[in-house]
Amino acid sequence: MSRRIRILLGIIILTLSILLLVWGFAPARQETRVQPISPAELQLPTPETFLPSGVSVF
Amino acid sequence: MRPNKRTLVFSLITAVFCLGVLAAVYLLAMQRGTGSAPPDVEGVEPTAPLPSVLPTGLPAFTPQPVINESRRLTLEFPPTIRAGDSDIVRLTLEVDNLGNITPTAQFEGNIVTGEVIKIPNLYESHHVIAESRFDIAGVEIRPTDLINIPLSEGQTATFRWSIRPPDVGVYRGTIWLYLRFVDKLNGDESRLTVSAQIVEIEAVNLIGLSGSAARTAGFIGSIVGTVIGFPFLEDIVKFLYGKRHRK
Repeated sequence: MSRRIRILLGIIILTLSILLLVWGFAPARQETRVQPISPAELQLPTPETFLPSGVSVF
Repeated sequence: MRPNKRTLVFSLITAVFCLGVLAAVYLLAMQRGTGSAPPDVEGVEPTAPLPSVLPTGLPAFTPQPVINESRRLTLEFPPTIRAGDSDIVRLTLEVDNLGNITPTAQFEGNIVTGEVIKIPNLYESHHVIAESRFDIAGVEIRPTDLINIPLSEGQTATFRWSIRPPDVGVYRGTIWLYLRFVDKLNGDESRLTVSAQIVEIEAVNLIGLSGSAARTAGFIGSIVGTVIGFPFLEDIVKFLYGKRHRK
C-alpha cells in the first residue's frame, strides 16, 4: 500500500515538475507587424511637412 | 460776428461727427471683409471654382533629391513574456523589392509633358542615418539610448533591444524610427519621423513563480518525483543495502 502511495506521489510530483519545466522553457510567442513605407515617406522634410494634414501653402 | 462764430463751431462739430461716423462705418466694413469665416456656413452656396491658371513664368523645375526605393518596416516582439525573463525586440527596415517606383513625368502648367526626369538620388547627396529608440517604462531595456545605423541604398537596417520585465504587469511603450539626413556638402541636418509604433507587452507568471523559479522548481521536482516514484527504487535500495551488509 505504501509502495503504491509512494509511486502515485512520485508521478504527481514528476508531472507537476514537467509542467513547470515546459512552461519555463517554452519560447515566447512572437508578434510580427509589417508596415510598408512608400518612398514619399522617406523624403527630405520640407516646410510643408510641418503643416497639419489637409492644409497647404497654396 | 457772434452768429458767424456759432455757425462755424456748429459746422466744425457736425463735420467731425460725420467724419467719425464715416470712419466707424469704414472700420466695420473692413472687419467684415477681412474677418474669419462666418460661424454658420450651412446653406451657403459654394462659389464657383476659381480658374486654375498658373503663372506662365515659373522658374525651371528642380527636383529634390529623393530615395527611390520602397521600404518595409518589420517589428517583431513578444506580446507575452515571463516575468524576470529577457527577450528580444527587433525592428527591421528593409528594401521592399516589389514596390520600387520610377517617376516618368512632371506636371508643368497642368499639362503632362511626358518628359523623363532625372531625380537626384538622396543617398548621393546626403548621409542617411536610420535612428530608433524604444521608450517603455518599468521594463529593463538595453540599449536605452538612440541607436544609429547608417543607411545606404538597398541596405537593411536592423535594431535590436533586449527587454526584461521585472514584475508581472502590462507594459506599454513606443518604438520610434527616424531618418536623419546630413548634407554631404554643407553638413545641414534634418530629421524625419518615419514611424512610431505602440507596443504592449504583458509580463506573466505561473502561480506566483517567475520564469527562473519555475525552471528551478521543475528541475528539482523532476529529480524528486523520479526518485520517489521509481517503481524499483525499493528493490534497488534493498539490493544496495544488502550488498553493503554482506561486505
